[in-house]
Amino acid sequence: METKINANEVWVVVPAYNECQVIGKIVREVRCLFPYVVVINDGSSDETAETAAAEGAIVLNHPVNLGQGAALQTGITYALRNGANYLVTFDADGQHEITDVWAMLDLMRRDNLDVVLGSRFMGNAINISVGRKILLQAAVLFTKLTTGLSLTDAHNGLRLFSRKAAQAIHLSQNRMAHASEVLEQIARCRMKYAEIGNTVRYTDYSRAKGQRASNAINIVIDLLVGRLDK
Amino acid sequence: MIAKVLLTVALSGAWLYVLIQSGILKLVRLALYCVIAGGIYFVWFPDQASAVANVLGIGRGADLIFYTWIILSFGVLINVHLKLRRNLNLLTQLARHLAIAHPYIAPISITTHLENGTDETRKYN
Repeated sequence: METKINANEVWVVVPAYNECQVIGKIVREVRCLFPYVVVINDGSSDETAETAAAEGAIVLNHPVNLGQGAALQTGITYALRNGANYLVTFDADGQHEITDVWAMLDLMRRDNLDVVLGSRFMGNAINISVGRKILLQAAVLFTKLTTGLSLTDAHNGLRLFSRKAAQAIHLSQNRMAHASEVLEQIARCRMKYAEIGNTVRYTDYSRAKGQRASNAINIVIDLLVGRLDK
Repeated sequence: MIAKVLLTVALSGAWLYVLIQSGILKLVRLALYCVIAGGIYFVWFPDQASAVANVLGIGRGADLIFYTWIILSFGVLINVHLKLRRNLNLLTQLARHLAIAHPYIAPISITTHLENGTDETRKYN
C-alpha cells in the first residue's frame, strides 16, 4: 500500500543573503505547500531576517556572512534536529518553483530514493544565457570526471534529501563549491539518486544576485584545497 | 666571513621557526628543511650552487636559488591558505552553534471574540 508523504514531514531550507526584496514572497509561496520553512540569514545587512520571520519562516541568523554552503549545512542540521523526514534545498532568489517539489517527493517515494536532484535541462531553463549554459555543461563534465555521476545539471539548487541522506551529508565547503561537494558525497556514500526536470527562471534580479562565470575558478580551487586539507 | 656567519645564524633561526610551527603540511615542512639546509651549504660553498644549477640545467647558482625561493613561497602560501581555512571552519562551527541555539520565530497574535462582545488578543512566542 502506498503512503502519501505528509507536508509536515518536509522541511524547506532556504539560504539567504541580502534577499529582503524577494524573501517574503518566497516564504509565502513555500508555506502554502509546506509549513516548515527554515531561512538561514547569512549575515545580511538588510531586513531579510525580519521579512522572512514575518511570513512565518523559522529564521537562523549567522552573525557573519559565511556562504551558501555553510548556510545550507546550518539549515539541514536544524531541520534534522527538529524531526524533518524530507529536506528540500531551495534558492532564495526566486529562480525555483515550489510546486516542482511534489513531483520530486513522488519520485523519491515511488523509487525509494535517497536524493532527488532538480535539472533545468530536463525541465525548463527560462531566459538562460548561452554563456551560463556552456558553464553548466562544463560543470556536468567536471562532475562526471571527478565523481562518476552522470547528470544533466550539476549545480541546481533545488534538491530533495531523505532524512537518511541528509544525515550523511556534511558540507565543509562554505561557499559555492558545496554544490560539487554534495555530489561527491552522494557518489562516495553510494546514495540512490535520480534527476527530475524542474523550472529555473532567470530574472534580472537573479542574474544580478547569481554567480559570475569567473567564480568557477574559485570553486575548483576550493575543491582542490579542501582535498589537501583532509 | 662575517656575512657567512650572519647568514648561517639567520638560516638556523629559520630552521628553528619551522621546527616550532604546528599545522604545517609534512611535505611543506620537509621542503623547508631541505631548502634551509641547502642554503647553509651554499653559503659556505658558493661554487657548489653553480655546479648544482648546471646539473639541473638552470645555468647560474643565483637562478637556482631564485627558482627554489619561488617554489618554496608557493608552498608557504598553500600552508597559510590551509590555516585560514581551518580558522574559518572554527568560525563556521561557532556561528552555526549560535544560529541553531537561538532560532528567530516571529510571535503569533491570536484574537478571540469573547462572549461579552470584546476581543482578546494574545501573543505567542
